[in-house]
Formats: sequence, C-alpha cells, structure tokens
Amino acid sequence: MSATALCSRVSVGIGQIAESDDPDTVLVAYGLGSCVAVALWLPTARWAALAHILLPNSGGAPFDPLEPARYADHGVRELAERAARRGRLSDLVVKLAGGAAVLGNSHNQRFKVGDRNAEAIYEELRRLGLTVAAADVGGTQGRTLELYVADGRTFVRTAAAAAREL
Amino acid sequence: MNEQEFLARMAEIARDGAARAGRGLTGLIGEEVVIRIPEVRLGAQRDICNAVGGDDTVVLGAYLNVEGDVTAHVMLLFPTSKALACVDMMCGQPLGTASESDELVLSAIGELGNVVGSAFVNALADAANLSLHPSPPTVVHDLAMALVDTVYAELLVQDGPVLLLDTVFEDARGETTGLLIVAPDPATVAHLQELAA
Repeated sequence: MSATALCSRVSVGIGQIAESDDPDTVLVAYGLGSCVAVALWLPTARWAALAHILLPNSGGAPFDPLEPARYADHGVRELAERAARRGRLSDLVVKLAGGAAVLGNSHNQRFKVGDRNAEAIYEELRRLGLTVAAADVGGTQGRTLELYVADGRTFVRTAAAAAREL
Repeated sequence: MNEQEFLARMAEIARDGAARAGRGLTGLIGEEVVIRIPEVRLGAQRDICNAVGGDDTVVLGAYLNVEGDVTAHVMLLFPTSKALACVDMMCGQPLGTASESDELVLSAIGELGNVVGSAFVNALADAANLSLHPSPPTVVHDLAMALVDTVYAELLVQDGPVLLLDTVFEDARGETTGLLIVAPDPATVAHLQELAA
C-alpha cells in the first residue's frame, strides 16, 4: 500500500477554509467550477491551508465565520491571518486552481464569475505582498485540487485528465 | 406567501414539468419514461452532487439558460455511464455501443436536455403566465460539483435566495437515471412569489 493511500482526505466545501499540520492529511477542493481554490504551504511550520472561494468581492458584507471563504477578499485575508500565526508570510508558497467557465464561454459573458474570482484573489494577495508560485485558472474545464500537508505538493485533475502536479 | 407555500407551488409546477418531460421522452425514445420528484428544496447544492454519485463524479448532460420575462438555469445531468446507456436506448442500439468521445452521443444528450429542460420551462411559463425562451442546449461533460458550483455562484452573485429543484428520473426499466436541476435566479423567485400570492 502506498503512503498516499494511508492519508486522510479532508474535503474543503464551498466557502470553507481548512488548515492542518498533520502530515497524513490531504486537503481537497472537489469540483471547482467558477470557484477558485487557494492553497497555502508554509514549509517552516510544515503547515498547509486551503480555501474554496465562491465569489469575488464581499462588497462590504460582514465576515461570516461559518463561511469564511464565501468571498475572495474575506477568504484570502483569513488565510493570511491563520498563516501569520504559524510563521512569516514571506515564507508562504501560494498556489491557485479553478475559475473556469464550465457552462461555455458564451454563457460566461454574463457574469464572468470565474475570471472575477481569480482577479479578486490576485488583487488581495498583492495587497498582502504575496506572490503566486503556480496557478491553473480559467479555461472551460472543472478541476479538483489536492494539497498534501506532508510536503506541500499540490495536484490538479479534471474530468478529462489525470492528476498532474501544480 | 411563506417559504413553505412557495416551495409547494414550485413542486406543483415541477410535477407538471416532469409529466410533460416524461411524455416528451417517451415520444423520443419510444418507451415509457417515469419521472419522480423526491423533493423541492432551497439551496442544498451538495445534495445534487451526492444524487449523481458524489464529489468526484464526472457527468454528461445539457445546460439551458432561460431568458424572457424572468431568467433561470436548467441542467440535465447523468453520470457518464448512465448517459451512454440512455443514448444507446434512444438510438435503439445494444447497451455499451455509445462512447463519450462520439459526436453523435453529445448531440443526443443535447437533444435529451432540450426535450426535458424545455418541458420544465414551459410548465413554469404556463403556471406563471410568462414568456420564457430557453437557449439552445450546451452539452456539458465535467465534474458534477464544478457545474453545480458555477450555477450556485451565479445565483448568489445577484445577492438573493437560491432555489434548486432537483428531480430524479428513470425509464420504465430503471436503466436511465439522471438529475434535472431547475434554478430560477433570485429575481425570478421574487416574481413567482408575487404571481403565486
């Protein structure tokens, strides 16, 4: 049996954030359509966190601790606060996946939620002085992202393609 | 009209849509199709993924965007294997013949979505005395969760309540099980509440 098979998988639902320093845990955001997953890895603390962001901007709506990643601005700030308790933000490795137009690009012209999610996340990360190490965003295919807490590796797979490392 | 009364009204419309869709599919396939509506709910996008097989399920289906007096999203989703079985039935060919890479299969699924989705849209239009225009079907082949999360996000981006009607349907032999999702956008929900009050 491989080491991967022994890991416990934690599903991070829409609007949720999960964090862990358990090396046997894999954080997973299943079926990202227009949603974007923000994966953090802090090698100095061997700590990882994953947010499953639904919408681009809170527009001043209050932060909801029950749905901390409903909005990009709230979700990224919450991630950064949690990371700051574990180490320096400058050591963070940030990766993104999602933001697709799964109902087709013509349909997507109406709200462009996927594009706007990705833009809002990049903007909030810039504001915090964070850069993105790797990203797989846009397109028309949904994605599932896995983040291995043991070593921070992330993998993305789609309906059409097997997992590949991000 | 309170929430319970509204959901009851939507369930009534959905039942009418299911009956029309059943007749449409029966005509298309040449065999009786039974459509069941176990529940009409607010929100609950996770339940839809579970109904088609869970988080990681790949589905094949069709999506229709509805415009007109009000707007709505309609999706007919099948786990891929069920979609292929359904196409085999529609085409009168042995089970296992259809392949997901076959253009004819995608076209057949689009037509299926068109028949079933339009039946629901027409039921909604008649019940609420509205002029509604479904778009041509877009064939979708993706992770179920990704499709549901996108529709959910688009409804929420308009900052209103989300209504999802999920419907399981089967043919008489139980060989085709899919899921129909009818999601009027929040402005539509308010409009329907006014009309039904």
